[in-house]
Amino acid sequence: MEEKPVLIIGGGISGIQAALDLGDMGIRVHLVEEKPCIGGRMAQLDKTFPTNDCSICILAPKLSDCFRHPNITLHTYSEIKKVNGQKGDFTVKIRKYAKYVKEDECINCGECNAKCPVKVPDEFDVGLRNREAIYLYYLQGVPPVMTIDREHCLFFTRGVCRICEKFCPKEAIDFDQKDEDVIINVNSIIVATGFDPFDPTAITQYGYKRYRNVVTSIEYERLICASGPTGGHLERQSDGKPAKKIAFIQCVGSRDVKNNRYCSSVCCMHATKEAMLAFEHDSELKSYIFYMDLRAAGKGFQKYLERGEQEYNISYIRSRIANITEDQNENLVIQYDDPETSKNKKVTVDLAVLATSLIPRSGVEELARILNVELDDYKFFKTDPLNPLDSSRPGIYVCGCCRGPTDIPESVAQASGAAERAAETLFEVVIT
Amino acid sequence: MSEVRVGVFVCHCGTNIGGFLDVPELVKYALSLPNVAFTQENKYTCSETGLSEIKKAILEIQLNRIVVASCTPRTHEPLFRSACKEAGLNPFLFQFVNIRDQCSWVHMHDKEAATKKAKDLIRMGVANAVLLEPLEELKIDVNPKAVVIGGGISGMTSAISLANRGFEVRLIEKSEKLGGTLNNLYKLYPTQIDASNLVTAKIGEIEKNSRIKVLTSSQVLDVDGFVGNYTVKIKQNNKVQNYDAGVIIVATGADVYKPSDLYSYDGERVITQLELEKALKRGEVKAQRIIMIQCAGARTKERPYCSKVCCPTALKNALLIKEKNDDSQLYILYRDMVTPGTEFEDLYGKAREAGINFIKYSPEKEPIVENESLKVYDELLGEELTLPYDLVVLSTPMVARSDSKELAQKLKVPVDEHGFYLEAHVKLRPVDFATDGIFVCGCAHWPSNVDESIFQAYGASSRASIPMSVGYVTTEPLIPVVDEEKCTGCGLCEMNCPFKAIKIEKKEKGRKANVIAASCKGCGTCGAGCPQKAITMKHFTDDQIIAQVRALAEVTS
Amino acid sequence: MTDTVKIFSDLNREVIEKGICGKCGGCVSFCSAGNLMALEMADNGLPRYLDEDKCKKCGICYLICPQTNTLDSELQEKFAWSPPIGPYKKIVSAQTTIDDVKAVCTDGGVVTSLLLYLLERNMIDGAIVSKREGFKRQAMIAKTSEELIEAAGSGFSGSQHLEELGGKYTTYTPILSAIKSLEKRYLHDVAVVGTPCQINSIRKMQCLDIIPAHLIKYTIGLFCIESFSFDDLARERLENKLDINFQDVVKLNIKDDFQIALSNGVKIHVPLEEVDEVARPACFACRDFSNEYADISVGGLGSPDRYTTIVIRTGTGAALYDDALKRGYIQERVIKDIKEGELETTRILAKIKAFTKKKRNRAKMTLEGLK
Repeated sequence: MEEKPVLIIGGGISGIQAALDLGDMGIRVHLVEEKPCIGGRMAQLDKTFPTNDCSICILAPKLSDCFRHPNITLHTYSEIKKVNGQKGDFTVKIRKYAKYVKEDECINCGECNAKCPVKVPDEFDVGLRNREAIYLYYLQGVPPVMTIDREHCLFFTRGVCRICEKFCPKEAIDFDQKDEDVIINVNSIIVATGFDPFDPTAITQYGYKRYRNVVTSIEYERLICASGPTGGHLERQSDGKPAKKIAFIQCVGSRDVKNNRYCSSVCCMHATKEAMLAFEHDSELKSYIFYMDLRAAGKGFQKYLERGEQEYNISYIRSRIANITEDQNENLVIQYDDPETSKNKKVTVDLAVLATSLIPRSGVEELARILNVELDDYKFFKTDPLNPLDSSRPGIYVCGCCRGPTDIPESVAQASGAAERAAETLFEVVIT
Repeated sequence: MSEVRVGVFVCHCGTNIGGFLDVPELVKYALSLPNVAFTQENKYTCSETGLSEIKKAILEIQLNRIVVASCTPRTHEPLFRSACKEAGLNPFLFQFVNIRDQCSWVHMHDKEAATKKAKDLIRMGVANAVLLEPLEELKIDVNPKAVVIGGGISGMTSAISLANRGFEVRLIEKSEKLGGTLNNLYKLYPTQIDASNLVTAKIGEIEKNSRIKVLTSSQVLDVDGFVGNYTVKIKQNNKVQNYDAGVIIVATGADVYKPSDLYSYDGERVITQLELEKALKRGEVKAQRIIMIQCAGARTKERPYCSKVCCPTALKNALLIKEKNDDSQLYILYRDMVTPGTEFEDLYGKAREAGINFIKYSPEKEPIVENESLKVYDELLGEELTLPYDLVVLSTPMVARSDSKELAQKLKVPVDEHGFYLEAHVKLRPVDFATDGIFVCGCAHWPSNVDESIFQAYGASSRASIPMSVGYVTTEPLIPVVDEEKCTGCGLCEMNCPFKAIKIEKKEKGRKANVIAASCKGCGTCGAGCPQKAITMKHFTDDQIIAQVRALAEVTS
Repeated sequence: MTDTVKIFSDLNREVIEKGICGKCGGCVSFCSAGNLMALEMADNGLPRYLDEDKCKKCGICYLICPQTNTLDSELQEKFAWSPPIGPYKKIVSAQTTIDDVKAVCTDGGVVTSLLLYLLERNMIDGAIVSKREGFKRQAMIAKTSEELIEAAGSGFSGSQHLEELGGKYTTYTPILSAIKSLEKRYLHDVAVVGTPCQINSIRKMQCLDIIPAHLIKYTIGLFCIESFSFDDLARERLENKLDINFQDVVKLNIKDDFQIALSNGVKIHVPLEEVDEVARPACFACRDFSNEYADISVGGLGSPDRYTTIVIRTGTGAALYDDALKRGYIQERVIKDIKEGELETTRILAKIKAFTKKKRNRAKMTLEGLK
């Protein structure tokens, strides 16, 4: 009897790692990803701490491996609709949304999206630039094929256009494609759906969306990334001038009674990283990191922070910011309590970066319902305290940020761990 | 096809290279080099699009050497080699030229000079590529047995998991019983279960599984061999035995630092957090006024790291004490409260609500423990406080086991400056070693809490099971070849090899050097040191190196 | 589906050949902004096929034409249009505070001031305005304050209606394809000053989410009775009729009537009907006087000399106006007596309504005549 495959929900670094481990073990995998390409949040980062490796550089080989792996079947632009059965024997319905592009034909030449007239905010670049209705989710995305967004495509909304079809040299565009439901039977399921960044608009005292020079950390990552909308130039949105003084405000939405009570684990480190990257671009740059408690417990993390302070012109100031205001040049005035003198002080900066909370993905409740697994009070997937990769339902395992906010090395270790748990399940079943 | 046809692909790497070098100029230049039949520039050569371009060119232009001038072979060489393989070209006919880390990244301010240097590098790369020869990867059989060193929560979890997968496991534990640090712990958070119950449960699973053989009171004396074929010499009491294994997992845990020189530590009124756990377990904590000092001996010059688990442990124990005895007065002196994530932050909240006092101190003004009371400067209050105490608990960091370096040497794996085992890649390979077939998990890797130890253990098992599941591994054939005519059997190579990969053996023609391909890492020490020049390093021949030098100096004849 | 999609040939038949093409340039600017290059502006200002083979029959040119109706109901809903003059939050009279602008403006210099505000506050990268060169009108992107004032020198507040011999008058190439080249920066926001037909076309592009409309952040609409277009013969006729020489004209205003200021200081008032003969016939099919879809609509009508009437329509327009006012770029006409002030607003509104009604009736008659 042939071994059943494993289903992995989520194509970020966790899902990818689990898929690769299982695939390398010789076990077949179905990797389902809701976006048109795999890669997840890690693809959106510029560099990663504490090595300051270029994120996409270390991720891309894994994306490629996944794509070409004989044991891994990718289902991108797909969602899980139904799960029945039990450990060892789950029947899953995957809905594959039509991309309206033939994946085998598309050569990613870009002729179509050069001609597409529609412009809508791009999700990968978090609205900092526009994309077309036919688009590649991101440059190094896998699978490297275009997708048509039928909510904005003029053909689907108004019956006109179809310009892309007329320019495609491979006749790869197929407006007759339909959404497809695929039913698979799997041995076990790994949930690796990751996180969303918290939207700090409601924290009005920080001025997000009101002051042009206040950005969130994910926006900052896209701004400083070479493949991002500004080619890696850190420019103020108000006047296009380079930022010379940056304030990083920690715990925005985290450790916050009104929003999320928990700590998002990684922000102290990523703020330091972001300050370092800015300094690498401009040696005159000064950064302030306003924090509550500095959390740098991982391997090499403490040293990283010290380097930041000593070599990258970062001042760590232990003070939670009450509010941010603007002066007439749209510089930001940060008012804080100086921890040394306990006196109220002000500093004016060019750019403020809000380290927003890592929150469970939107749609997680529906997925939990479909999987029939429990979420904790914060809507992260609940795991068995004695077996921290097992969800509340046997045969379903959880790894990465959908368990709780964590960093990349942890996510990778958890992902390998979840792969192991899934593999154990297979063996159990075969034996009995 | 005897004609050498080189294809050169120059990558922009986004703006990493393209922003600092004149890539079109490099492409033009490459085409002018001898033997180059095709050139192309790519935005991201490593993307699927880039890889297809390479494969297409191999087939359509009949290229038989590929040079990619882009980032680093450390991350991308396997990728490009696979692409060549998929197009039917021997993967060792691929040449990587690093014009990013070794050029654009370090010469960001001088485009002209940097471009010229890149031209030199490409010229050298092409000259080398011409002389490359096809090589076949080596297949090495893997023994489907594992040795797990360390019988704590990590080792036990790992062993059980691999045994459940159907592999045989030897679980080696130095002390007399399994359980590791858990044996000394009281209650765990957030499960609230007794640590000893967890140990019992795990031992129960081990006993049920016939595939696990436990060796307590055992130590590793030596490790020989290579991935798939390790021989581990183990001493149990006084008996020495060899065990064969395909993979090894290091789960030796860590010690808790005993601060004999700090805070008037005396083991009675001033104790460590671990000693507090033991005391709580025995029900012996009667003290009312308890002060805990965080970062005691951690985040200092000697140990400049945060030990991660101390803040949650202190909070847990403080809460346990407070819950049992509401009259107790508890103080936690901290520099930063490190309670990341959901559960630990909750714990911190609970502790504050329970009335435990928190005092922030700075490392410049450390608390002073005197006979009856403790003096501490409260940073937030801006005042010095004098606190009488019954018990001072020092949250000291985890430190690497005193014998970690020794074991590391036997395994031929590295440790970091603190003695913790150093993994292959901090981000994406946290439980692998660079040495194939050996893995690490738990506190041996870095201070971890129980949850983390468990999932790292599963992670290590997953990684370890891959070669065992497949049954073999392939290694790079970048090994030395011994010319037995020239070899005099002097033994210098064997003496100098750091991996014990070349040995003098009795052969037909006398005593000759014999290469153990699977252990060889291709470092080239033997080849460089051979006085008879009897050793040729495959893929890095003398001819190739000289060709590169000549190319650099632009000597054409 | 393709059979029922209306394409350029339909546009030709329904609009251009019927003589109601307003030469706004929307169709051509879309087609070229997208590098489709199937259409071009002929010398007479009318769009036509540049290369019919390049036409991909996408149907978008038809949709965005101000003279077609397919998107009308959507436009009305999106902009909360209501009769009789479209949506508005406030109607005021205001003038610039800036001397440089005062020196060159037609009425109150409000348009230039608002654009200066937007440029100086870095809220736009540039403004699409039109600049007079002799009697020709050129569309240009003003990226600096100096360029803006230079363009203002041609007095576009009212005299944008003046066209020279089918001169290019539109927001199409090179301007919009030039905007596309600005797309290197993620921030490219542009303000457009245009006639009702131009703004209508832009708004329809925005309904469809298509280029180049995504670049346009602010629309300032001009009141418009009609555009003028004349050749040498017609110009001579007009000169004879009015007893003027066009070389002597220093300023042209349209309020209730046509106001021509000559270099010798003399001001001539000409009733609008008398210049109908040089008005563009296509304009007679247009129903929109007060630029009902712009963020802010402006014109001379209803305000005294040196002041501009401003109709603030959308939230964007309100935010723009309020901040420009707050920061002192413009000042409102002060009427101390509240009752008198209210009366004044009512008077202005009444004038706008009247002209709107006139234009709508004219359009109705024209379109019926074409059936």
